Amino acid sequence: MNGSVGIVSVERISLQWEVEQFLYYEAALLDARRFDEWLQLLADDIHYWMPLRFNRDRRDEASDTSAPDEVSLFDDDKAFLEARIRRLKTGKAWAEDPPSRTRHLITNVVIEPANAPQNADFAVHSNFIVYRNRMEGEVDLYAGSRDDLIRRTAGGFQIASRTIMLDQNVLLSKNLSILF
Amino acid sequence: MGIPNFTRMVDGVNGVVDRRVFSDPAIYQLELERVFARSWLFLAHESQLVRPGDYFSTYMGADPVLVIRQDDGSIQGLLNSCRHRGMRVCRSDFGNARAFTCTYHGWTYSNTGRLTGVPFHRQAYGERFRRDEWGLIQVPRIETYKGLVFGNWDVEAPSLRDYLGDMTYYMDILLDRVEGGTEALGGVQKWRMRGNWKLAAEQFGGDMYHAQTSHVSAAIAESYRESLDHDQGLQIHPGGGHGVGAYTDKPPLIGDPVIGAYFGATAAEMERRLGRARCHDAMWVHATAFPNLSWLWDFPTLRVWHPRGPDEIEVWAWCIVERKMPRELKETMRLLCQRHFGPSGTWEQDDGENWNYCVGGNGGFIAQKYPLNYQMALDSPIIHPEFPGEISVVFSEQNQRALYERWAEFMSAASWKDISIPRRTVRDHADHSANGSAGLAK
Repeated sequence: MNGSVGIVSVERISLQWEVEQFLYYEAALLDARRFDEWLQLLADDIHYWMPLRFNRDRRDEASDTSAPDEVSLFDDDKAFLEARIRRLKTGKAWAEDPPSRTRHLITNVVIEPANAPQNADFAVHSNFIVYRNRMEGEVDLYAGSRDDLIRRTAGGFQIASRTIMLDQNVLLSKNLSILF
Repeated sequence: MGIPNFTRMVDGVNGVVDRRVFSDPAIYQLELERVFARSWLFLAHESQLVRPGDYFSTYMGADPVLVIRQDDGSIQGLLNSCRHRGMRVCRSDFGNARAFTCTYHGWTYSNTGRLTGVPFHRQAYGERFRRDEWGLIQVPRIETYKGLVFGNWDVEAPSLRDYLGDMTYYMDILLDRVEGGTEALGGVQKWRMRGNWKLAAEQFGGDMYHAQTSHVSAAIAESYRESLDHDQGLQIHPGGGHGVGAYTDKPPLIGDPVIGAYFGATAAEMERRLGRARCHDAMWVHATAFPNLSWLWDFPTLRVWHPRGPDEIEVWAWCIVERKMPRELKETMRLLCQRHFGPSGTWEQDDGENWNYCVGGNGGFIAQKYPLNYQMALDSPIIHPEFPGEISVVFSEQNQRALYERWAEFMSAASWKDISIPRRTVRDHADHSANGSAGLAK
């Protein structure tokens, strides 16, 4: 990431618009709780990962983020994401029944130049604020970023990998029963 | 209100508990003194403190504490509060340090807690200032049981082993099943749930009954729904307010073949170390060590319920695995743990929902007048030839009643002189695990 967009072409601007619209569409599906359609946007080999954030001394130069083989907040494959959605549809997932009201605000969408790994077409960074309100007084405001690897397929974009940085150390909400 | 009569608020004989136990702010404040300031509280797993200087920042009750491996291999606990103005002397979650310097006025403490540096100390304090009287407050008692490090503020408290009593017999099934014992995987999940800490502690200590209702959605989604219908098992109170629950005659909850193969391959070793009964007579599920340390066996999660007021819990959850497990199996165990438990856990989410709204119901004037029912299996003692403790059927509130009776005992007692020490009937077998108190070789 270096702040340089390279040559500004119509193709480049068009791609930016396409990817943003895709991410807004994905967010709208989550907010509408259209989870089966959301699952369609995920590649079969998706890795959906939200590491932990640590408070470390700056001078330690130590990572403030958990390593891939350490405990994290989400570390799901497609099968487990499907299981999460099945659980919601049982009508007995009490933490989400009544459901949360969510609003995913997606911003700062940056498409990395063509450095994506060979089985993805784009590396896409975005920021989010997800507002959640539930029941009478449950209010959560989550902020962070996603780093996605996205493939262009015949049927549209698919998310092959998502790394979510949630900007919290102690999670200040009672659960993570929603998706990011 | 004045100091309530706690033994009237908890009636273990008739199985009723006063709701104010969960909601009254004055009772909560008294808990900080009478439960958390005199109990053995879990601090860390030894595997988090490998090299001299390694530290982990945690809480005992609501007090911030640094747990530090010393040069001589021992473990020290220090109140994370500068003696000058109370500022935290360490604000990172974990690391390695020889000293801690306060960001406010620069007082420096060694990692043993000694006050070693005071800027301009002659000009500012002259000769009268006694540095040796102003070191960080030490946790006076630190003891380890097979990899689990505990601390206690009360010098009159019994030893950790005496405090745990026969609970160690059941803890060994987690901590000492195989050579090398356990380790904590990197990363501790921390999150704030609404609810009273005791609801969580009692559930993990004695409540198998809730699983079929609370967790039915996860069971349906992941195709082990029938598992929750099992109704044979045991609830065991080994004394001291601790609790353990198990199923009997039941296959494992999640039939992962790799996990099954490992436990099959280590079955003989487990039986050599722990004997036939613990291996074959029960399928261990849940446990709480009084007051606020809980763990499961089906899912490798171990957690502390830090009190944050009468209606908030800060949960800290570790994933504990056996050292000798192959790397790939540890990965499998980690995913099993965090996908089901933890803030995004498909099981834990629904526990959190329950605990949140139990408080809501307990808070109003009218609601508080009606005690809670703890009458499940009031009279169903079971005899087992070997398992120590009081034993009840699997759907029972024996352990919950025992936890609250122990709680009432602590709350009513002016000191440890007035608190009973559980009778120990099991003999220690040698500590086979690698986690000796002399520190670890890398």
